[in-house]
Amino acid sequence: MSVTSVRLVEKRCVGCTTCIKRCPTEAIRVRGGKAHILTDLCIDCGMCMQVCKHKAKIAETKTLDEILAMPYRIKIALPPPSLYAQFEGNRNVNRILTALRRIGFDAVFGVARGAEIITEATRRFIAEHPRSNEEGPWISSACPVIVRLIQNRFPSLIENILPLISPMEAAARIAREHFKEKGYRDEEIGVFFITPCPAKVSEVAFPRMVEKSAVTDTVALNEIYYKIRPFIKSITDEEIETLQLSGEEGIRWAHIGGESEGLGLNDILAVDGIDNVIEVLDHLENGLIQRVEFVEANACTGGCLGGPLAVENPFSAETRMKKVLRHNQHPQYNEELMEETTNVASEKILENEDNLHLSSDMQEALRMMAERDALHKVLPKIDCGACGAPTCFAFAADVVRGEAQPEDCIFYLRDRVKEVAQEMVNLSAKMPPSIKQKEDVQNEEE
Amino acid sequence: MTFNYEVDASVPEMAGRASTEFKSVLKQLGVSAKVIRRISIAMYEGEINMVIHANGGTITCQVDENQIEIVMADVGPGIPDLDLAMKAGWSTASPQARELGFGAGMGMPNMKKFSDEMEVETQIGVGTTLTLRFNLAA
Repeated sequence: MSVTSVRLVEKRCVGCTTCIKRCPTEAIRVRGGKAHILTDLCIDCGMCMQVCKHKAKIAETKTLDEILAMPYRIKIALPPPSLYAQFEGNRNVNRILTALRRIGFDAVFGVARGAEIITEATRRFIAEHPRSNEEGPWISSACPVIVRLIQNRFPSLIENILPLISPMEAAARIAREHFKEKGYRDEEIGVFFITPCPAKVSEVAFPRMVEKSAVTDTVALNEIYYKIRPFIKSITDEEIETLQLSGEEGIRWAHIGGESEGLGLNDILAVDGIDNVIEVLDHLENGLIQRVEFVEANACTGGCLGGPLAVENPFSAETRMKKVLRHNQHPQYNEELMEETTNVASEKILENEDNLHLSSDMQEALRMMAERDALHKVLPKIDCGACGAPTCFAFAADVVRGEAQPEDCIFYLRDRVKEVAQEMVNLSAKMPPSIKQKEDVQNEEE
Repeated sequence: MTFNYEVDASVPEMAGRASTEFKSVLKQLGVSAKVIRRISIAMYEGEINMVIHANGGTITCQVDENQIEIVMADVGPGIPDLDLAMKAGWSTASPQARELGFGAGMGMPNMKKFSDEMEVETQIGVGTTLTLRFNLAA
């Protein structure tokens, strides 16, 4: 499914080359002075949002006002554990959850609880389904960017993806079930995930691991941050409600390595940052990573703490995360909700969405490749980006696919102009025989 | 179509580059994921062997609709006992190197296992030419 939740704010985009250069899948082209996303290639990582100096890329979430105006009888907020590390000086998760109730949510259900359930399910699943060295390790399915990256670029690793739903989905299901038992009908319940990234927005709209998401919609973490911040300060200790459902095992999923830590495995590999992940997947495919049982891969640096919609930079957030974790070894739990659990097996077979091939016909692909490489030879190879493509190589491929003209390259164009100009000079030297002088004929013969 | 790669052993950070580049070519050609995985593993083994034992060499990959042929040629020391080298677990790596995880002795056997055909020509003091073939017809 080619869908992305990253949107361009046209009036802010100046058509520079920053995002096209940094996109890990070369999924952006500048056309008509604006950065257009090729949805077939986009994996929703949000790198373009992070690097854009003009903030022209945003995630397509709902706003809090839009959510509060929705006609659900009960509105449940699903905060991710990464939210807990955003506030300077506050280590009390219950304080943050209480603040969420103050801005208009009827109930809150921390995704960290879903994470604990997935941790337990992963532990059991891996014990029951050990992988041989040749089959390679299980790869976490928690980061939707990674699942999509594997479907698009590393399809031989699809069978390594852990067939479990995400903590967000598990949390949403439990929250829903809980309130259904209390007498609400399913359609009366609105479940809203506070998202640190655009990939989760797409995961809700077009889920890859489940038929239909139990999450109703999403709202951006950075919007919620500024809305609850005043309450984090003003709520007194007495006013804090006991809403917390999870301890450090769930909360630590917010940072890289946190997911694997609870698995009790000896050999895990935790990798963060999309370029690093691509390198690790490449090595996995080459059989270079041996004796590893589990791979935790997060697209963002630092894990979800580094999400494009987080407020704090992932390194400061990490410092706070450690404090939050220390403080939450034995927190005050809401016991009633904690007993709920749910089936977390994935409901879908992940499809091969390989999008690197030039053509589905190999003969044709070989022809296109030869044509592309021939064009690439005469391009300047300085990857200036003036043509709107990230590299000369990507540009040559665009031309072969019929999506660009060779003359879109200003260097190629200049050479062509030079050739034509030379041709004109040559032509201008030609004269009709009636006025041609003897020396002209001699010159021509030489 | 032919793809040529130089394996330059004097630049260690380039080791594995030919395999990675060729893998990218195969993905662009739409070769099936399973076949790509086998080729990647086998070619990488061969490329690293060239760096470790033979001071580099050249790799020529010939692609047509039915078959991929990879010829890895070096002017290294040659393999003294080919039968032994083909045995799983046999390695020239020192015990120290093995403790570090190198030299499991699976290089040659893996190349044979992952390819559909493998030919080795080797001559002491002259070099080794290894040919791997992979069938593409389904």
